[in-house]
Amino acid sequence: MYHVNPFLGRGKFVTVQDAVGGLILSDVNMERFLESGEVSPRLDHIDFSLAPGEWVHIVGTNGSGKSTLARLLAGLTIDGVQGTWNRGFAGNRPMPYVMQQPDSQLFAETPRQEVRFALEWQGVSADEILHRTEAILTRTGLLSIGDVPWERLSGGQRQLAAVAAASAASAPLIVFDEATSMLDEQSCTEVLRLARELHRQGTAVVWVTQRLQEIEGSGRVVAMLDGRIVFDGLGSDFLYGSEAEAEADADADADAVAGAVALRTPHTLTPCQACGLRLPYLPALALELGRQGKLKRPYPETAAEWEQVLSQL
Amino acid sequence: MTKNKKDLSIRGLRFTQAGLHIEMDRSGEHASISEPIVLSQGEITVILGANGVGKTRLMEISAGLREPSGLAIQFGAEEMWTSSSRSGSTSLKRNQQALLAYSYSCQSPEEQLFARSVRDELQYTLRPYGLHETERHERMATALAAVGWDKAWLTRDPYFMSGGERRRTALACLFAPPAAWLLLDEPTAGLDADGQAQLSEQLKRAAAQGQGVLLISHESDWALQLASRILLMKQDGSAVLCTREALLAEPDLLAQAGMDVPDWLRIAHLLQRKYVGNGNGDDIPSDAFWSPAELARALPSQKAHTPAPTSTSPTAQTSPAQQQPTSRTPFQARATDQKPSPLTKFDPRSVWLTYILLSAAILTQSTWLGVAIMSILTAVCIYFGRFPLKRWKGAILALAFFTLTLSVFAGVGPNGHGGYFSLSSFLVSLQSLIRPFIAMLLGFGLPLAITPLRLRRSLEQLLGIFGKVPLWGTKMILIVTLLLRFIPVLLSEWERFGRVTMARGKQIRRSGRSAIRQMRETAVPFMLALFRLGEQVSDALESRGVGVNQQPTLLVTEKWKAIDTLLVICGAAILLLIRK
Repeated sequence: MYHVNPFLGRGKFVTVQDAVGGLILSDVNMERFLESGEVSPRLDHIDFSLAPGEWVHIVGTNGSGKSTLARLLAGLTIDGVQGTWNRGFAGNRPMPYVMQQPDSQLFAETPRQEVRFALEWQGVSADEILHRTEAILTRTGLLSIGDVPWERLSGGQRQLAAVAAASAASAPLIVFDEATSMLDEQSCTEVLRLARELHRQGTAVVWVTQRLQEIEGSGRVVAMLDGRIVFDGLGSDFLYGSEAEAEADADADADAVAGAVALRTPHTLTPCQACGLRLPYLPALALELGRQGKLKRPYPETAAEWEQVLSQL
Repeated sequence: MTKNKKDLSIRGLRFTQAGLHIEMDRSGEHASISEPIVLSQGEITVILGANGVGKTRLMEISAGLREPSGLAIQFGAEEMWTSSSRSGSTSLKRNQQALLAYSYSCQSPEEQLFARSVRDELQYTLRPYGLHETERHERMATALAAVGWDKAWLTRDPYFMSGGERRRTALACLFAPPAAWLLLDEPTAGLDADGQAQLSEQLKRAAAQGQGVLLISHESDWALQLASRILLMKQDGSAVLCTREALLAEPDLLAQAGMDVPDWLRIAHLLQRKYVGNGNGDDIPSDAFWSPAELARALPSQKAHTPAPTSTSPTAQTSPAQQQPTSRTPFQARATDQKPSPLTKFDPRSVWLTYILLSAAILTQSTWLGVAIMSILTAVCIYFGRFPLKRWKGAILALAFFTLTLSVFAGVGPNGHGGYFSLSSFLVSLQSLIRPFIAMLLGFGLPLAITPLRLRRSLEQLLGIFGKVPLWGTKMILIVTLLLRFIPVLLSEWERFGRVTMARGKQIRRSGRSAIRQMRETAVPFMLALFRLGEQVSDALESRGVGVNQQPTLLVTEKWKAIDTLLVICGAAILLLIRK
């Protein structure tokens, strides 16, 4: 059952074959060599599993190892990785992978040609390619600009074309590696919409991001710091800390007030703050209101929920 | 810090009813008559706008890194471009005093680093300012302090740093020079929370000390908390200059500029409407709206104990907030400079064949009449086919000059009538040289019809006549396609690092030595960028299944149509009829 995976370069990687279950990494390590000759881990004892059709957010600062993990999950060639994995439902082929810069992942000149190029390498028959290309362009809303060359499309439109081409493979998994970090609000929404669409159709989605606005409270968030997974749980717990911790904090606050201390006691860091990420405006507002006892959990997420809360203030 | 005030004025951005109108593509005629936008020192101006609206371009023009395109840039009294009229033709030249007025941090500034120590990077940024040694050391120390570092970091090699540390090195280089202005393009992308907080502190301090700050950021909540003023660029080419308070009072300004209003701004807007100026006397100070912590302190408690709705399913689409006021324009194609050439409608093979026929017709002409007819025909093709000759202007002019010189040389010599110039030999050589020249001009139309991917398809169809394309054929075709695809990307990367070198080095004169130095300053980051690009391309190809699947499907998309036959017949007819 065990064999060394041929396309993983120089690593000592052991693959466990089981084509139906989740994608499982256990005790995965990868080392990086520093100027001083020291060895610092890029991936440090990673245990991770992904169920078929699941959506997971991977967050962390630059250099936290989230991108390496994403590439590993996508099944791309990485040198020097050690550990055990079971690719499970994702199989042993590389999975679609969308990166930050659209330009390095577009190989044709127009969205239509790009989708065709992607399908050609998926072993799809010629007739079906033409048919499926049109279907993909329609679904992604790129039909009207299908024949417009890249230099006349905005960065957001090029990124949408990259997503469309990546999704052409209809794979069981798709990995987005900071795919929205160079886009404006409107283009982000479009790319996220496409990803959600794929998710609804049963594709598992790994969504690597630094934009915490994209996190859903009820969704799964995995946070990385210095090559380690430091948090794996609900989005709301990641942003605001778990409720138990929050209550402990509130008690401490009450004590502080009782003791007439003007300075507020330092709060325990939320997982989000602990791994060095800036809390966006609305979650920061919710957290502050909650800490001052002005807002009860669960905190509002969407604009609509916020409006409802505002009407109660 | 700065002796005389150097406000940044941008002329050529014109006022319309909506606000300001930017006429970036006009020739310089209007620049002198329109009223300039003046951005003051001591303020932080944030440029907002949708993707592709030209924010970076405006900043690069302001920094004199691109042709001014009709805008006139002035830092204080220093014009960015001065015209010098030597030998009849006027040429625009950058003014070094204006270049020295700013310090610039481009997108992903860590990619510009090329030296082997932080000290060398800082020295390089400071060199154009010609400071005394003591002042230079002082500035280096302050620059390091600005990013939370001490002198121990001076000897560190950026090449071996982590991404975050390289970014800090680049930011230290931004703060080092004694410049009147700081220009920053997306400085927070990839910066952690501490780094962002530190940067906002530094920018606020810089503004308080009288420096001007011009900032592009799509992290609107971070940027607006700093902004003294906002320059909102719209897709129709106009722009609005307003305060952040105006934006808070009317978030739809963003929608009118083709952007989505971020949720946080809409909520902040609703709060502001509820708690400011409602006559209850419980007004929240307007500055509090930009900081969640301050706002939370000022807000009252939630009255009812009803918990916030738990409709977390993303499919709840009917809520009022999601029905956005959609006055914004949906995804717009980028303003196009050129319409596509009608040649793209033809099969590449027919275009190629017709070109062969027409070149044969051109090359076989032996009379001036024939050459003239073919020149006119070529001119017609160039005009109606919209050949982008501008792109090859340099090469064409050089070749024309070469043709003419060679012919003149051929004419020099005793002409049999006692003179030393033979008109007939001159004309004979000119004619024989001008024919390939015309054929070449016509040839510039080929890349329009035969784009790399169409070339690839044609090759595949040619090689795949007997069923499958051989493996070596697949590999070769893929390599050729990729090379052709990425040549423009490489060119634009080279130009980008060239601009960065200009922004940091501030060199306007080209001497041999400085050219070699500039080469290195541009080439090192360029090569590093190439490696990164190579890695990304190989990742992307692998994820598309290239390399795992040996053979792509052979897709026949090029079909020979009636117009293709017609085109070839025209070509053949011209060859036969004009042949003499």
